[in-house]
Parts: sequence; structure tokens; C-alpha cells
Amino acid sequence: MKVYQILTTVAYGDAVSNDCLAIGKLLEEKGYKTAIYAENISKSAEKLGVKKFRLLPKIRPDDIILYHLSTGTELNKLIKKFNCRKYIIYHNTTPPDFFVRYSGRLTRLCYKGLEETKDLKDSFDGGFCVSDFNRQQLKSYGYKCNLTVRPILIPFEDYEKTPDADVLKEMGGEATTNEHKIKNILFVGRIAPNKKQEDLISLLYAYRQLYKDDPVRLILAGNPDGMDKYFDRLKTYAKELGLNDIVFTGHSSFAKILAYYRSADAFVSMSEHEGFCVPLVEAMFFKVPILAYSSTAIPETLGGTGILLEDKDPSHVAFCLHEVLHNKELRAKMIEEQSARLKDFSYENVAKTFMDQFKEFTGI
Amino acid sequence: MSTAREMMAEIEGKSTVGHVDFPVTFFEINMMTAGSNEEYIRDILKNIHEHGTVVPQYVTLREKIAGLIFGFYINHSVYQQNDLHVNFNRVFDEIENNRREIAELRDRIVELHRARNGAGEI
Repeated sequence: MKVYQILTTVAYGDAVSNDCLAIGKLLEEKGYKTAIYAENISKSAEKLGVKKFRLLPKIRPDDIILYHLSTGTELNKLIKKFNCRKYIIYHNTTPPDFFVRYSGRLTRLCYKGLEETKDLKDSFDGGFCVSDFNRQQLKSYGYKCNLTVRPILIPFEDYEKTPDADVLKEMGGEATTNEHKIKNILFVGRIAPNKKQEDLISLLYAYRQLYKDDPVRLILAGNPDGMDKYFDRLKTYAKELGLNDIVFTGHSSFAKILAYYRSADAFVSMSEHEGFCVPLVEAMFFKVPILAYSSTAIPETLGGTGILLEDKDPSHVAFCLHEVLHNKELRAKMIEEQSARLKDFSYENVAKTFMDQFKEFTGI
Repeated sequence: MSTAREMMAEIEGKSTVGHVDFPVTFFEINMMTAGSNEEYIRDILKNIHEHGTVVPQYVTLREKIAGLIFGFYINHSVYQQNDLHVNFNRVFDEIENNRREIAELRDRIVELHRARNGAGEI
């Protein structure tokens, strides 16, 4: 018996890949024979032993497949054909509407992803969902199999690595030990219409209008690849508002991302679609107070911590942000609550939950 | 003891939030003018470069053996590559035609405007 994880892409830095690699490592530690097969593999993933899907050996009836679903792919059709026990690990697919104006390819992929997810409703023996939001979605698609919830498995020791010294210096040093003259407002996530980076640009404009003597810097850490039109539009919007100092990091190394987190005075998300939102947990880890617009899985991941925004009025968000940056009592309370919430996502807790669910499903 | 959210709600209840007017909204930013033509062409060129790179076919030993036996796949790949280039050239021609038409229409608009309103800034 062997446990196969199958997915579309294993690449550096994306949440689905990281979850898959962490599960692979965990299963191996627990003594299972396991392997990862993907359609597209980055060079770094290849070094970690991830293999091309076309090299997948013959699957035996006693094998187990864990299938990570997050987009439209040919795999969604092929997966039905395997004659063994199959379990979906559902990461959610971004609704295609977000991409209509920007990318026909992504619109089609996401549309296919949603349709294929529905089409697979009777194909699995069980499912692991990374949030209850995702579980409810599968149930609404008619999934009758047992669906469990467990957060994404995050190996936090990676976050203890050394941050990029140049970025850290440029951003004014670590936020926990330095009183920044220019406060750093951070959002981490690929440049994509569902992440709503334009609302963060509006926030920056409103903040500077309302609090002229309180300098802030907006850092949008995310890869714009494949989203050129949206990225161009964001930059033009910023230019029209006279905001020429926004830090668009582009594709960044892990060390640079660590530096942005360590130097952040607040983490703000205006995203309108998240199946889990790992950056929120990362912000909790780096003790960065979070303000987030209430959408999809975000309230669930925050678990009552951070400041949840019910509307996007830039003036109102700017007011809340100003409080978070300057009200020491509020800030300390936020960090205290977030640190307590972080324990729910500890590697040990999530690994135990996953293994319990896995054993309950498979009986092995 | 209050939670952070309760603290924030209390602060909000006691304060007046200012209002900011925006000179432009994100929705008013026209996507077609967000990037210049040169940028679009640069992107297309980048795509051509990426797609134009022949992917090495025979990576694993199994593939290499298969390649030796079924060498005609090499030709197949070359044909595919040539087809791609032909298609890209068609796209380029289309872009050039569109740009020419846009320029002609712009001149016509200027001409009509001046015929009606006389010379001056449009």
C-alpha cells in the first residue's frame, strides 16, 4: 500500500504546494510509503522528489490517493479512473468572475475548476477541507462523502530563517524592536483581482488625506505573473492618485518575504476570496496586528482575532488602521489574541488532526 | 475584559470618522490605457520568446530510448514549433493592422472636429 498525493502544480511559495509537501513529509515520518506526482513541477520541487504525473506508476487497488483540488485541470477527469480509495483535499477555486476582465485563460481555468469540482461529487471516499467554508461549498455541490476540516499544515520552523538584511534595513528594521518613523502596511498575496489590491491603494490615499503628519508605506508583496493587465491597472490607479511610492515587490525570495513580515507594523487584507488565507497565520506568527475585510474563509481563519472589517469604505478602514498603529493598548491586545489563535495552527496540532482524520478515513 | 474587536467598536462609537473624496476611482481607470502599446508588444514578444523555446523532449532514460526508436517525434516537434511561429506572425500582423486603423480613425476624428469647431485644442 502506498499513499500518492496528486495535484496540478508544485511550485515555490504557493499554499497548496506547501500543504502537499508538508503532508508528504508527515506521512513519511509516520512510516507510510508515499510519493507526490504533479503535472507541473518547479525545479526546487523536483529536488524535493516530486515527480511528473505522466510517470505515475500503476495504481494498485490497496493504494490511497490524496487529490489536491484547486483549479481546472485534465487531472480532474483522470482522477475518476483510478480504482483505489481516493480522498479530496479541497483548497477551493477562485470564482471565475474575478478574472473576466483580465485573463480569458484564467477565467476558463477557474470556471472549469468549479464545474469539475461539482462533477467529482461522487468520486471520493472522503474529503479533507482546509476550512469549514470549503466544506460547506463541497456540501452545496452535492458531496455526500464524509468531509472533515483541518487547517493547512504549516512548518513554522521555516519562518525562523534569517530575513533578507537589505530589505529589513530599507524598511526600517524589525517592527517589534523599532519605532518606525514610516509605518509599514503590508499585504502578502499574488497580484490578483480577487485579492483586491486596488482597495489597499484606496486605503493608502485615504490615510494620507486624513493623517497628513503620519507617514505610512504600503507594501504589496506578491507575484504579478499572468496578471499583467490587472497589474498595469493597479499601477495606473496609484499614479493617478499621486501614490508613486507603493512597494510592489514582484516575485520575492522567501528571505525577502520574511523581512517584509518582520518589518510590518500592520497587515491589511481586502481580499474577497480566500479558501483559508495562509498570510493571516503568518502575520500572527510575526506578531503583526491584522485588519481584514470579512469575506469567505477569512473570519474563520482569524477565529475572533484581529479587526474584522464589515465594509470597505477607505476612510473608515484608514481610521481603524490609524488606531491599530497608534493605540498601544489595542495593539497589544490584538497581538495577544492573535498569538493565542496561532496555537490552533501549530504544526503539532494540525499534524495530529490530519493523522487522526487520515486513520479514521483509511483505517490504517 | 474586552476583546480587541470590542475595544475597536467602543473607539469607533466615540469618534467621528472623516470622509475622503477620491479624484478618480479604480473603475474609472481604463484597462486599455493602463499599459502602453509598447508594453503590450513587449509582453507579446516575451510570450513568443517563452513559447518559442523548444522544450527538450528526451529527459529521462525511458524517453531517450523511446526517442532513439521513434525519432520522428523530433520532426513532429519542429513542425509544431513552425506552426507556432506562423501563428505568432499572424497575431503581429493583426496588431499592426489594428494600430494603423486606430491611427486613421484618430486622424478622422480630429479632421471632423476641426471641420465643425475650427482649429484649436480638442
